[in-house]
Amino acid sequence: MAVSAPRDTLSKLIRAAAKAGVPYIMPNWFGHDAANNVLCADSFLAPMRDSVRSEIEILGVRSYLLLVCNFWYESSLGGGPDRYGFDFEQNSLILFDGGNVPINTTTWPQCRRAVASLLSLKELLDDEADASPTLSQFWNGNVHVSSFRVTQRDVFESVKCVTGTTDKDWTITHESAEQNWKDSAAELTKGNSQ
Amino acid sequence: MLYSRMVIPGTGDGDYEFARGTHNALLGFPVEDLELATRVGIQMGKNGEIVGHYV
Repeated sequence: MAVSAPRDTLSKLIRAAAKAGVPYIMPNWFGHDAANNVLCADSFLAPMRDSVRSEIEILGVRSYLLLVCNFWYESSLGGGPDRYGFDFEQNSLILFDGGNVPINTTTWPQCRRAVASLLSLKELLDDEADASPTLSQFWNGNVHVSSFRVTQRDVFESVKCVTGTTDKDWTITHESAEQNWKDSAAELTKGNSQ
Repeated sequence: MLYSRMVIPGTGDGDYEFARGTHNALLGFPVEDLELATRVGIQMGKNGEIVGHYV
């Protein structure tokens, strides 16, 4: 669902699904570690997470499932410099704090596999001896998937390999992640998001 | 804003694999090719196929 969709769209979808008797809802989510309250609060996602979860539970839906996949790799790499820092028109890169912080990131095919795998799981264990994965393991919880655990520098090495470039072909600028976040958050709070 | 917050040093906030592990093995996922994914991302970006603007 587009980030620009009206704010109550998700709620409408949840209510419609509940009314139709849908047992599992995987609500739109930004992939963040939903159990990390500080991260979610700092990213302005905690209120949405909480209201979505409680709405699903109140409506009597069997379970919510939150997909923790972090940012999508392809769109974060190619979608402009304000994501993973790469601008492929300018051959420029913004490195945060030297670019050495590892994060998980997931490709679209892997996200599709996650949803498909979950939907194909049986719901409950057959008996006590059954050790296979079931959907019930994930009831009202978070599913963690990842394609790569990489730093910006790891991604840069991959980019140089794929594009046949070297350091001298790139313009690198350095920023503090914390400062960038604080500045952006302040802009948001003032209602200046684009 | 979402992106820079995720990579603040010392928080480990973007590294849930370290903190909690993943369900990749449980769900039978393959190991993926970083180079291939990079190639796709760059191509889609250059072709204008990536839409949307997070904050």
